[in-house]
Amino acid sequence: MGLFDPISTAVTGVDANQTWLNAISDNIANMNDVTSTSQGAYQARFVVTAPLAGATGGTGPSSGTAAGTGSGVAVTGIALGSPAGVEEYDPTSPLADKKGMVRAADVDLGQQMTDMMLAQRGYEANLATISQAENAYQAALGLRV
Amino acid sequence: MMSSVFGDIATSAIYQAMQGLWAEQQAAANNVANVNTPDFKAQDVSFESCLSQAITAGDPSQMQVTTAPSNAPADQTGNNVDLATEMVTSQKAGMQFQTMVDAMNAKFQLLSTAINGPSSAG
Repeated sequence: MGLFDPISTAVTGVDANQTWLNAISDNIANMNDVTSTSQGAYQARFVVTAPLAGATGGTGPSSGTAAGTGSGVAVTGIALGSPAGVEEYDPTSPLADKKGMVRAADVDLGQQMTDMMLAQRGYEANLATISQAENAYQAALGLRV
Repeated sequence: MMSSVFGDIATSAIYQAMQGLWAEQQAAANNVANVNTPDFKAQDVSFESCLSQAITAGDPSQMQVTTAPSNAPADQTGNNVDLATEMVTSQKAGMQFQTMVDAMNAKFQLLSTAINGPSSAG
């Protein structure tokens, strides 16, 4: 059992939510990107996460954590949305093809905003855990003979 | 069975309880960190009944911390972490930990009084 386990565990959660917020802001920043139909559209970023070692449950000690309680979350990769995007009719655009079509990014703003709230709440919840663990450490530091 | 001055049942029981509460805090931290991880199952830590049995048997160090996946219903992503439950668990474990520290301090105070006499025990 490491001394600062709960705090480092919560930090992995803060990091994962930070990465998610970065991906969401990138998606929103690029939601109005337009390309010609011969090119791929902006691909939305989706963060893929997985529990760190020992987090899958069971009893007994496992990889360095107290009784298999797990040690947080890790970002295992970024999945990309479809490059097909959505074709839109915009004949005035310099990028438009013969039919007047352009390729726009397929970013669902409603979905992104919902994800942003989830990421923000997750971020805050992990900070609350840090402050709880900190209180416990403060108490332990108060041990005196 | 322990009988030394510094390794009596009370001190050992308090120490074991702190270990268990620490694991509980760690599990809550891990569950919160994975609140948005698909297919993650929350983990519950239990040690109280085992500690109670160990104290009855006379050796609190026999206590085992048990971790088991929660049976709470999962959402559409397969995740069953309930943020409210985790916050309460974390808060409760923190306060219980504080209580254990106070109990340990009281125990040390008694020893200090026994060693130094009441005047210097402060």
